[in-house]
This record gives sequence, C-alpha cells and structure tokens, in this order.
Amino acid sequence: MITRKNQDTVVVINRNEYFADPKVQIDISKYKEPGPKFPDGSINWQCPCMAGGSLVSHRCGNFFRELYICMKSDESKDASVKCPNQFVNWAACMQNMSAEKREMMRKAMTETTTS
Amino acid sequence: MLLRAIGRSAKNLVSVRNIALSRASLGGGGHHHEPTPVYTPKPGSLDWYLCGNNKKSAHEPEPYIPKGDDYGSFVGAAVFVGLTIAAVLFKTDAFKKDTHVHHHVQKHETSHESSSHAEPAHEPEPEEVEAVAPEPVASTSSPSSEPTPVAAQTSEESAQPSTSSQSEPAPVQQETPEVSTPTPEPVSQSSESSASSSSPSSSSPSTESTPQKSEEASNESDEKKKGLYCEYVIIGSGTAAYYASLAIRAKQAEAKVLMIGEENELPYNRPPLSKELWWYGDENSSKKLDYTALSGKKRDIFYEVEGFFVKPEDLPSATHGGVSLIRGSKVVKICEEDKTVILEDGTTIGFGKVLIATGTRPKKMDLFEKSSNEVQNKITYYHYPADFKKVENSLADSTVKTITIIGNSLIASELAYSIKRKYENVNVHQIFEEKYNASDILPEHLAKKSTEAIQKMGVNVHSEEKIGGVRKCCKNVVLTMKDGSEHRTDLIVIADGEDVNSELAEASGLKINSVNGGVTTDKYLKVSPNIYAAGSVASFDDSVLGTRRLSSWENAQISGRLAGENMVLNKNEKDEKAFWYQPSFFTKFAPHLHLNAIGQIDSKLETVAVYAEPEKDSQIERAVVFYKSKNGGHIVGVLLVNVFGPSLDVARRIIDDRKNIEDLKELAKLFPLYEAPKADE
Repeated sequence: MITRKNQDTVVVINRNEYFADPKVQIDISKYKEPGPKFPDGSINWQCPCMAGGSLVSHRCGNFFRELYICMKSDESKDASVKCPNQFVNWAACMQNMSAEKREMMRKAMTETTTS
Repeated sequence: MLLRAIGRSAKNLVSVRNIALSRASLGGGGHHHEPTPVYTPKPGSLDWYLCGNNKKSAHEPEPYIPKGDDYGSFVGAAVFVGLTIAAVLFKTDAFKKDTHVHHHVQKHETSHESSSHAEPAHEPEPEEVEAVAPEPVASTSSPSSEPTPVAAQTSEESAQPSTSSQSEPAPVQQETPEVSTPTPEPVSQSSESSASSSSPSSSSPSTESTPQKSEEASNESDEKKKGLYCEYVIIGSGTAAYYASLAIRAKQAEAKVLMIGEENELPYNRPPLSKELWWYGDENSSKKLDYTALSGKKRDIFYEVEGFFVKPEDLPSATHGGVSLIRGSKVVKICEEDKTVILEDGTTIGFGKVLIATGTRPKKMDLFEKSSNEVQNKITYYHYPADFKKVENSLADSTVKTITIIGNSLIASELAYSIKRKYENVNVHQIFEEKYNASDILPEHLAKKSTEAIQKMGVNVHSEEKIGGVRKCCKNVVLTMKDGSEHRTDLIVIADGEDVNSELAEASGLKINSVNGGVTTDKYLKVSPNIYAAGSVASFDDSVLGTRRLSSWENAQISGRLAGENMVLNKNEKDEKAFWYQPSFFTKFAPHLHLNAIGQIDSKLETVAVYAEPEKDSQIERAVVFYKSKNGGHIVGVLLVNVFGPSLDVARRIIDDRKNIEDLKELAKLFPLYEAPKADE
C-alpha cells in the first residue's frame, strides 16, 4: 500500500513480502570498528578495549603502552603473572604511589610465591 | 597600556594610508596585497593589531636596544608590502634587495614576544612608523597570500624538528624555559629549516634561508625565557576536544596536548543532560551529575577524572607528555603567523598545531533578553550542566509545579518528554511556532505521530503559537500569546536553536561559512596548515553530502578523532585522512519512538518511508525513512524508527553508494523490520 502526501511517500511492507526471495545482502565490513590491531599489524590504541584511547592518553599512558606491548609480545604466560615490572610501573603511576610503595609492590610481584 | 595601544593603532592607521600611497608608487597593483579583511573589532575587544605586536606577554618585557641588524629589519618592514608585488614581478631591479630584507621582516614579525620592539621603533626613525604598519595589516589577513611565506616557513620549522627530537619539537622562537635541550635544538632547527626551505618552489623562502638562520640563532637568547608553548593546543573542552586529545596521544606517543576550555567543568558528555540523567537519575543526580546505567553501574557525565590530566605547569617538563586542561579560560584570538593563541586575560600561548573545538551555545530570544531581571530569573536556556541542575533542583523540591519549554527542537522535545517521564505530577508544557515536534527533521506523518505520542503521555503541546510578551506576576511568570491568551508558568526553559561559537575564528580572520555559520575547513578538517576545526563549530567538506556542519555527539567524537589524527599526520608530513565515516544521531522524545538517523535528515527533502505492519498487541511501530537528494534523487539520509542491529552501518553504505530507490522493497529488506521466524530454517 502506497500513500503520497506532498513530497512524502509512505509504503507498508507486510511480513510475506519482507521474507520473500530474493534475499538481499550488503557489505558493511568497512564500517566495523577495528579491534586492538589494525590490518597492518600495528596497535589500535583507540580501540574500545583500551577505553577508546583513554588509557594511553592518561598521564600514565606511557606506562600503559609499555605494559600492553610487553603483554602482547609475551604469548606464553598467563596474563596475571606476565610483565610484572611494567604492571607495577603503571599501577604505581595510576595510584600516585610513592617510590617506596612502588618498590615494595614490585618486590611482592616479582618474587615467585605459591598462591 | 591601553592608551599606548590606542596611540599606536592610530599611528598604524595613519601609516597604512602612507603605505597605500607608496604601494601604488611602487607600481604594483593594489590587489596583490590583500588588506585586512572587513573585520571591525568590537569596542573593548582585543584589537586586530595584537598579532605580531603583542605587548601583553606573560613576562616583564626586557628593555630593548636596537642593534645593527634590527635597523635593517625596520627598513625591511617598510618595503615588506612591496615585496609581495615584487615576488610576482620577478624581473624588477628591486627584487634582490627586497628578498634580502624580507626575512628581516619575518624575524621581526615572529618575534612577537619582544613587544617593546614596536614601541621604541616609532621614535628613532620616521620610516619605522611605516615599517611597523604593514605588519598588523598583513598578519591578520590569514587567507591572503602575504603571510603564507611566513606561515610556510614556521610550519616547515615545526615539521622538521619532529624527526630529530621527540619531547620538545618547538618552533625556534618559542622555546619553553624548562625544555631540557634548548640550546642545541634551535641551532639544529635553524639548519634544518634552511635545508627544508631550499626545497619549496617559491623563490622567496629559499633565498632568504641563510640570513634567517643567523638572525634566528641570535633571537634564541632573547626568546628563551619567554614561556608558554605547547605543541598541540586545543581550544574547547567538550566532546570534540576530548576525543581529539585521545587521538593525538594515540598517534604520537609522547605528545603534549593543552586543552583550553571556557567552561569550568572537566570535559563532559552533553546528551545525558536531556536524556539519561532524567531517565535513570535519582535525587542525587544534580549533585554529581550521575545516573545508574542499564547495566546497573553508576555513571556520570564526565569523560575523565582529574587524575587523567597533567597539571598545566607540569606539562613542559613531562617527559612522556600528557593532556593538560586549563578551565574557565577563553581564547579570544589565534595569531596564525606567530602561531600563538591569546587568552582573554592577555596570556599568549604558542602552538605547533591548534584545534578549534568551541562548539555551540543556545540561541537567545530577544523577547526574553529584554525582559526584566525578575523575569530572567525564571528563564533558563538549556545547554550546560548548570541548566540541568537548576531545572532538576527546582522540580525536585517542588518549587516548580508548572514548567514550560519553548521550541520544537530535539532538545526541547527530549526535555519535555524526559521531565514528564521523571516527574509525572508536574505540568509540562511545550510551546512552539511550528506545527509539530521535530518538524525540521521528520516527514509530516511521522512528526504528527510523535507529537501525538508525547501529548498522550501528558505533555501539553501548544503548537503554532507565537509568544508576544512576558511578565512577572505574583510568584510565577506569565507568557502572553500573540492571540491574546495567557499562559502562566513557574519556570521557562528555552531550547530553540543554537548559535555557533565562531567568534574566535572570525576575530582571527578565518573564513566562516555563510550558510551554516561554521568555521570553514576542507575534507581533512583543516582550516589552514596549522589550524584545524572539529565538532559542531566546523563546517567541513563531506565528499558524499557536500559542505555540512553537524551538531551531534557522534560527529563531535568522529571529527575530534579525525582532526587530532590529521594534526599528527600533518606534523609528520604524512598523508592526512579525509572525512568518510558518517556520524549518526539518536533521539527519543516520545514513548516507543526510538529514532536513529544518518546523513541529511531534512524534512524539506522528498522522503519515502517504509513501515512494517505493527505486531499484534504491540505499541511499537518499525519503519525506515529514506531522504532523497534534490539533485538526482539518490538517498542522502536514512532515519530508523525502532530499528536496531547493524542498521546504521547499512544506512552508511546506502548513502556512501549514493543508492537510488529503485527497488524500495529490496532496500527495506536490509533492515530488521520484522523479527525472523522462530521455526528452524
């Protein structure tokens, strides 16, 4: 059913018409937000997974950068134990830790302890 | 100070006339040198001559003693105007002399901090009066041909150091005192700049490179104590500004970004002021501007906490850069040649690249602006967090029982809906001159539907009404309509259009688009080599839809990021990226009417709406509206009514491909108008 008023047309499409063949498709892949890596392999620091870029823009951003790169390059270990130094640097900056506290944290994290 | 300034400007005006005569006498056509664009500074505003002669620098001007070189530069300035003509008239005898002198002038122009140069200049030699004059004339006319050699020179200088140094690539004359390696850098910069300037095709920069180097080196010691500089300066502290800062730091690891915002708040997200804060907020919302998101988590409107930022005073020494924010500060002018921004209090800050992201403000209504103070206390334009607080507080403590919203815009309509949704017992009125809500955007059938929906929930819509007068009466305020009837209300909220905050650009001699009021940029969001604009202030070139200015959140995000990225790419002399990703907007101002749209959503265009049959027992209608181009009838806009999924990207594709509505039903199938049958297929 089609109605026209001035320059506005209204069409109603019913269920059967909508699901009838031919099925249509459209390629919308280029609008998809890239993940943490661009097609060329470089890191997408503005990925939603990295808070849209907030983590590297932060005043502690350089520490996050180092941490992320370290964690990405180290495929082997479990995420919660790898790159302890970089993690400590970053966490200490974010929490405005004194150098003392930071080193204490570093000691605690780099010493291998049984959990 | 001001008197001296006036005196100097008067002298300059006199001198301009002299120069005009001498220009004619030099034989060049007057059209070779574009005089200052027709901008008359408002009384009391900073005058246009400040660029290049800035006396309000952040430090005590040192006593100036003209040295040998300097007299040469004064003389050179006198011939500066003739130079432009001479640059075209390659075969004149005077050519060699002019170019030799030209870079003296450049040095003089760019050493804006040594403000006292200009002052004593007037006394020693009469020709200096003429000498100083052409500079102010030249420096403000940014689009003209004259300052380009200067701008090109300085932009080359700023581009070059990026390859050698990482933390402080500063233009020669604007080093910050705290920079760790100031001495070796400028020297290397000068040699690099002379290397770079030998490459461009125009002859004048290349011939003047060598003398320039020595002058700039001597300038170093003078300028070194002069402070404020940041490689990336962003004017504005809203959404576009915020996302630009993210993009800059993402693309350049140690970048230093300085945001200068007029508002006192940290950068915040504006749409919740008429949506989520009302829908999901509680009695404490106005204090912390927070609400409980659907996920259950408490969220506030601020993008970041204070700890995200580096304090402005720590920025120069921050080895890994950061984003600094100066709040409550207004930038009044950008001096393109000097590459500085000037704040309202007179502070000058140098930049490598600057982004204009000043946004918009609510349009004022004359009728209310002229009303008494008593009445004005009962009026709020709606745009800022303070406006939300005022309205919410007065509704929460029941001082306002009847609220009237003026305008049929999306903000006005959203407010009417949101307030009524939260405060069922408050009388909500909406008054506008048009026939239906959002009639600028929605085709009439849909606008009518949405108005009926908002009325059904209890909002009193007074359409096609014109307000004749307003007065205070007893505890509330009375609006008199043109038809004589009166409307009494406790509070008036106005959301009837916006004005673009383009005054800064105008004052800086930048081009403003006469149709949409935005600052003119190209498809890279670039205004000029070192100036960019993003967000709702920018009028940019969309290769698919033409020149546009968009006031949506997503446009602020997308264009902010793009401009930031391009500023870094440009600095590194890499190819910039053109605008390509169409932003969408979302609005909801009636129950069961969730609207998303992309492209040109203009009800004056021909539209074709495809509706799905409503499901049984469902109040939800689904539809897709296609807006057709005036030239060619291809689809330039898509509006989605209660349609979700990847539909926005589908709409983007349709618009980018300039699809025609040949087979409407086929296009409709691309959108989830019906749910798929549950039976196995």
